[in-house]
Amino acid sequence: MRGRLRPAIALIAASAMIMTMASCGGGGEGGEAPTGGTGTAEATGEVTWWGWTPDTPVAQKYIAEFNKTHPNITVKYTNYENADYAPTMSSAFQTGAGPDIFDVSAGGNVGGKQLWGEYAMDLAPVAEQTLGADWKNKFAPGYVDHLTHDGKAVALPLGGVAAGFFWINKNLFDKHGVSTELKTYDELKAACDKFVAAGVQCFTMGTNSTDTFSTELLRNIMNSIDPSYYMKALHGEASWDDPVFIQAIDIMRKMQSDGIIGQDATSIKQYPEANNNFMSQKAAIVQMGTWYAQYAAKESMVGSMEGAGVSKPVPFTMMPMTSPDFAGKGQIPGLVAEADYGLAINADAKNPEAAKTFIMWLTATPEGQQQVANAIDLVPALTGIQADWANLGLVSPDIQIPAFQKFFSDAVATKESRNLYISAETGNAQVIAVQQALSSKSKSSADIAKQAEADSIDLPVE
Amino acid sequence: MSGGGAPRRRRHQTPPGLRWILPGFLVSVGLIYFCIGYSGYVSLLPWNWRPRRPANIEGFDSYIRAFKAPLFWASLRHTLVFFIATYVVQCVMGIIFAAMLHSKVYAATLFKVIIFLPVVIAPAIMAPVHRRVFAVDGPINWILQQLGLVEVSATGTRDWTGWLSWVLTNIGLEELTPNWIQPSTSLWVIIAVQIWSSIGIAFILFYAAMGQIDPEILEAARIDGASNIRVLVSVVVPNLKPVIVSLAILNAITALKLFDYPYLITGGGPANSSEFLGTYIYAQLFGVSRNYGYASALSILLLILALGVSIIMGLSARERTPRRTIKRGVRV
Repeated sequence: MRGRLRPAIALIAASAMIMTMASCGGGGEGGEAPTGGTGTAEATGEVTWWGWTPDTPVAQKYIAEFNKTHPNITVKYTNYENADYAPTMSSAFQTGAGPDIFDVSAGGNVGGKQLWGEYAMDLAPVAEQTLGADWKNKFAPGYVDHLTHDGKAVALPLGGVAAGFFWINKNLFDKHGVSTELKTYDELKAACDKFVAAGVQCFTMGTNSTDTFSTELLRNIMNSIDPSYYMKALHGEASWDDPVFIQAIDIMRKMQSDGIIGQDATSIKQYPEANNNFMSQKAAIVQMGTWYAQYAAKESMVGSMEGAGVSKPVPFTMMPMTSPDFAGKGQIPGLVAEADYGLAINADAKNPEAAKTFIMWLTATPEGQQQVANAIDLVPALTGIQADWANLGLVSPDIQIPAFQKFFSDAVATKESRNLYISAETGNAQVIAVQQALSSKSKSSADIAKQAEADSIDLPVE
Repeated sequence: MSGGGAPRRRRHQTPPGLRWILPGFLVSVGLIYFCIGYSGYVSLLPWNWRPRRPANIEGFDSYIRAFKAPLFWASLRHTLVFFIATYVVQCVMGIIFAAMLHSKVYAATLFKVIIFLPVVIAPAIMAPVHRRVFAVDGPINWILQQLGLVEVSATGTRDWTGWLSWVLTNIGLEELTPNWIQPSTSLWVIIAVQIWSSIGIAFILFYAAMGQIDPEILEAARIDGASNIRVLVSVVVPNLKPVIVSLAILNAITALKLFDYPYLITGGGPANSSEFLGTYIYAQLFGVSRNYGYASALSILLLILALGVSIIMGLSARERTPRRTIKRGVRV
């Protein structure tokens, strides 16, 4: 009996050890990313897609439209909060349990191509086969390059994004007699005084997170001091402890002491709390980018307001507003823009052919891109596509459509990138700088800038 | 004859329970010790190594990097402050609650439930509540406002009332404002929440230990004229030493591996002001750059710290036996 049992035990032990080692040490060896091949009409089966954006209802619309022409492919979308995306993806890739399709952005510390690009297959052959040799020119200028990493097209752009401006609740502005054109710091301060007196938070922002939304205000301020400084610093031609950075910290602190920035900025996050403050009409202004236009349509606004805790939501008119001249130098900060995010295919995808079919449909066909345009979440990546503005169900189309169109066209024309050259370390250093600026009385602006300089790492220009 | 003896000896040498412990043994060795070993291996790779990249052992660079990192030392400092504060308050409050509920208290069972309830509620459930409790416009500041300690300025910000602000400034606490999630107070928010959520454990242990004390000892103390407080301090507390030592070990390990509350309530911030080793490792592994080598080195350092603390506390907790001394050649 024992003689028969011993080999069996040894076999079980060996099998268990091998399985354990495989599960613990997965991902240790390098793997060549497969390339080539295109999505074929015969591709079938299930495809998993993970992303921090778009919101699930928007993704479901894309998928439903896709399934009208590709009923044999099932796309399962999972949305993660910004802060949860990196941990989830990291674990998934290490254990070989990643999705077929995943979001990749041009930069930043959530979905930056420098973080996830190495897990993606090169999509250039697929795009070339579908769109022809000049496939790059079919997309908005620079978008393909923004998502190219180590010479590999790690993702195809879904659309572009611009930031560096405010969104305002026009209903609140009108109700409290505040002008919707705030061009100077003093005008912004006067507007905030009115809101605060009426019990409305003026400008909501959340810094209690590793995401970099809060740093966009800091960058805005820097651009109003010296429009060329930020990009110079990113490329190592200026330091982060420069007087421009220090002055920007000073202005940000003044904004808080003047009651423009809420005192709760260090204790809340941009998502969900600051977003909820704006959508529940507790705050009149929020700094977000073009992606925020998606909440301007009645249907999505009602959903967002309910999500923010409003029991009987009545949609309000939200409008984009150019940032004021913070520094008083006559310089209105411009937009920053780039390809927002693209869709990548996992080099170890279980169903790469179906994944290619879905990605090519959404990014490179007029039908797919029209869906993207109509979600007004992104500026469409494929040139020549416009949102069907008149039929989007905007709350106040007469004033919203021209304003949105202007910001969307400015986004395409903008040359200054948003996250493209920001390393994760630099982004994090600026988050810390903003947190310190708004919460520490004893740390000087110069010391904050000095620490930001020490903690930042420049990215090589690709 | 010779062929029959040897196998019989081998059979006796095989532990009879081997087959029963094998599954647990494999899980322990496979899942725990192998992963510890693997982490040790990864910690010797480049600090910013990540899976799928070439793996070349670079030695102890990641450990040196950790020792040079201000944030590593800040995390340790936060851990130490957290341990001391939570441990002291747990012991004091735990003993007080246990002593009170050993006396004839009305609705004692209800009080026991109230004290112990936070222990069984998951941090993930309570963290959003705590975020709200400590919010600028949350209940704590509302209470302080009703007490006349906090006022709302014309710009909507909350600050201490004039006299309190003057006092705080003159004792060097000008950083302290009624915005609790800020560098000077965020660590204390975590400590307060941890005390709230774990004091029930201390209470239960002390309550049970007090029940084991021989009533005759207490009676003797009272006959000798000891007051209630004197009995508690001089008779009851010395008998609680095993629980006090056990709580020290439990709290030390909790402090070293703390992750949930700082991650969920403050995110380790603002500006890393409530960073602990757990959140620091997580941030290095998942948050910003995914530095597997560095995060693994930090994990190994955490393991060494936890082992060291446990061993030291375990040794110090042993009952000290009187040393045998030799006087004038006579063993006593």
